Amino acid sequence: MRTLAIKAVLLLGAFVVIYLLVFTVLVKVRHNGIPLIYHVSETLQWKGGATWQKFQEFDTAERCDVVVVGSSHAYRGYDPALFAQRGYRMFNLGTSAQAPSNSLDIIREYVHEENTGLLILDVFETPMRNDGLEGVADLTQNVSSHGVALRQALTLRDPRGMNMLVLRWLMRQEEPLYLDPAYEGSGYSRRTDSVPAPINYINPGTFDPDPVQVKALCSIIELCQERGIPLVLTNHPMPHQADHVAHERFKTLMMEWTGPDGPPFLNFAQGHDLHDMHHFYDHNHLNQAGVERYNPRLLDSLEARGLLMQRTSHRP
Amino acid sequence: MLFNSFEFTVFFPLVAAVYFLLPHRYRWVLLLIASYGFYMAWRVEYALLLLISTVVDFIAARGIGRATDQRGKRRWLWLSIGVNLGLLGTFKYFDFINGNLRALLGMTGMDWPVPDLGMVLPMGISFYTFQTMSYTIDVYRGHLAPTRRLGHFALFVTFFPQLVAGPIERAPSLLPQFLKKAKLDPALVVSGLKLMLWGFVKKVVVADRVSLVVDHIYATPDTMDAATLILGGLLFGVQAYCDFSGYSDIAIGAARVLGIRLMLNFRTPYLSASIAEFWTRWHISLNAWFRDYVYIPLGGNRVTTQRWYFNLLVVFFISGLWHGAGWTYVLFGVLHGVYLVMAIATQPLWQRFNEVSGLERVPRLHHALRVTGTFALVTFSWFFFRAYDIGDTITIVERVFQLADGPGTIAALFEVFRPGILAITLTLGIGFLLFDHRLEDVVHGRRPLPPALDLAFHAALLMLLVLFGNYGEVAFMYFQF
Repeated sequence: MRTLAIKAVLLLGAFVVIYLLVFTVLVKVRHNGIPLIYHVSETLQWKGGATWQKFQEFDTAERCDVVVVGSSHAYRGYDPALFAQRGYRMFNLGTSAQAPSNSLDIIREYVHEENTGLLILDVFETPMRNDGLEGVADLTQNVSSHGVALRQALTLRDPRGMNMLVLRWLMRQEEPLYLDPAYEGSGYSRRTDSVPAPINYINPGTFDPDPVQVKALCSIIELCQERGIPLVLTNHPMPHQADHVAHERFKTLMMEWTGPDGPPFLNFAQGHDLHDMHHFYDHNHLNQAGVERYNPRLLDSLEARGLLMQRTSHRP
Repeated sequence: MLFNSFEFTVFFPLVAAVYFLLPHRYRWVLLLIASYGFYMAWRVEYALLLLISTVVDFIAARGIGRATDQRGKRRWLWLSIGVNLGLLGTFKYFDFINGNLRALLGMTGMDWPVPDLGMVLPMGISFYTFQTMSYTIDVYRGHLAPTRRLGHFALFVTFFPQLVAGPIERAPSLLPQFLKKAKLDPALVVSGLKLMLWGFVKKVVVADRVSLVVDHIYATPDTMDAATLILGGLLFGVQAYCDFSGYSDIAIGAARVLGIRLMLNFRTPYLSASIAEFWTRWHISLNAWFRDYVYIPLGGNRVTTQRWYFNLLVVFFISGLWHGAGWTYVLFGVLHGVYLVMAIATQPLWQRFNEVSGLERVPRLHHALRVTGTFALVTFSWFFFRAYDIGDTITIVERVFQLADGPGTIAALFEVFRPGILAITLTLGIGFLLFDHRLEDVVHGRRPLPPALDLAFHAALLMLLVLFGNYGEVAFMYFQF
């Protein structure tokens, strides 16, 4: 046993030295200004961009009337300036491919009863099908909290998580590699372009949620109840040609997951007058014109339900 | 449960630790429970098939042992073969045969009313049914006495390291090892763990990375140029080898940690100097099975030349079908049968050619040419094995021989994949082909390194595994067989 233990320790020691040495070289040596590690890995995300910017900006001590979480639908679909027009201070903590399993850790760390009046989680079919990997890769590099980065990395349960954490540590003194030019502040990124040509929608007509995401969604609901944070689930408008069959299944399941006493689910995916090209910049993301149509309707709905107290007079 | 899963990294050390803490007489119970747990982590209900195969073969072997005449023995044997092939036929081949009948009758304008079963293929069914059949056949032949211990026999059928993808063990080799008291041997544990590490590197770092490029090339072969298709064939050869031999290494290593020796399943097959030699180095346990239970009973080579050719073609037809219920697999098998028949038929011509050309006087060059030729033939056969269907196979072969152009070039691959990632993938794939035999020598202890270098070598393997592994629980290819 002693021999085994000595050999194991020696191997582990040698591994740590070689691993850190190779990793450091790959981080320090750059090609076209980008560390080599990003050229040779599929899963490691660059440090920088909208996620990095918003977590540098977000102050947990400052109270927001509304905090939004979710995927790119969230951080490109909920404009703090439009909320401010109604007198609400909103911050958008949506990040790329953020699935409920990613949102859960963000809410745990950053969202409290003291700093959040209302939490909006934008949820639709894609994040519920997602394995959360892309969100983990983004958050481990760009979230300001080491705790969130660690918890997110651990969810992968394989060496990718360790690689992400080591990269975060090796890059800790480095400046971000890029900044999102569309970043407007308060967590929002604006897109003004439109769909350039009609899109051929491929609708599989099925919706099979990932059990991990279903569990995470239920945990978010529970966490908000425990912390006394009002929660609203939303689904922002989708193009008319989107997958209606899959969406019907999604809606039915959402009713099951949230339950009769659960948070309201405000579904704007269908039954709207937005144009599939003019109000979207791709197959399912709203552009600024779409956001300017959607956000006032959402605010009307929230105010009508008493979820937000009307602050200023406005014309619908 | 997959070897390359988080669950296995918890499961295996736990089983190994408890195994050595338990008194010897209880160890088989632990291994049996662990093996069923390992299998049921995938699908609980399919463990019933394992149980049926186990119980039927145990009873059949006991029946053979008790039978006083040959006829009685034969009845029990047919029961065993019938049940195992019945399971295999139902779960693996029913839909294939049914689909072909439907297509055949459809051509004559008739309807075939029998619907497909659409069942999920039970993991490892081709392996454990062959392993249990070998037991009853060996008992029937008088090569071993039937065991009286159902528990030990159940463990022989389900032993988790080799349950789902081999090596296909024989009872005379494996069963006695469960009875023999195994002491914790640090040297054996270390050597087993090193082999497991090597297997993981082959699977997770090489096979799973290379598979991304292979999948891309084979997804639209009609758009690929000839060079890219050839590269796809080469890389698939690397993928298939690293995937399956990686599994075998992990299986053999895991068993070795527990003090149980499993047979070698791969021996640097791409260094073979002939197709016949290739099949003694590739999936050795399966080919030994076909040799002992199909080829020799058919008469082997101790028959007329025509009958010998027939025997070879039959064996390779079945071998192809064993690999998968699809015509591409059948063609792969038959092609190898044809290779062997052609090699035998043209042997005098080759001998004459070697004499005339003087190649025999330069044995190293002669050997290198033979290895290269064999490798080219095997690579060609991978086109059949990997293609999605016969149509794709024809497309690939046509485009390769026509030296076709197309938008799918090797340069275009660098636009599809990140250049750095593709460069690493190609380096790993091609480098593996060139240096595998040297690395295998080190890993299998045939070329021991000085202790410090050995430590650095294995630490570097671990680094490769952690830093460059392609994770996400990609199943082993041979699970589908």
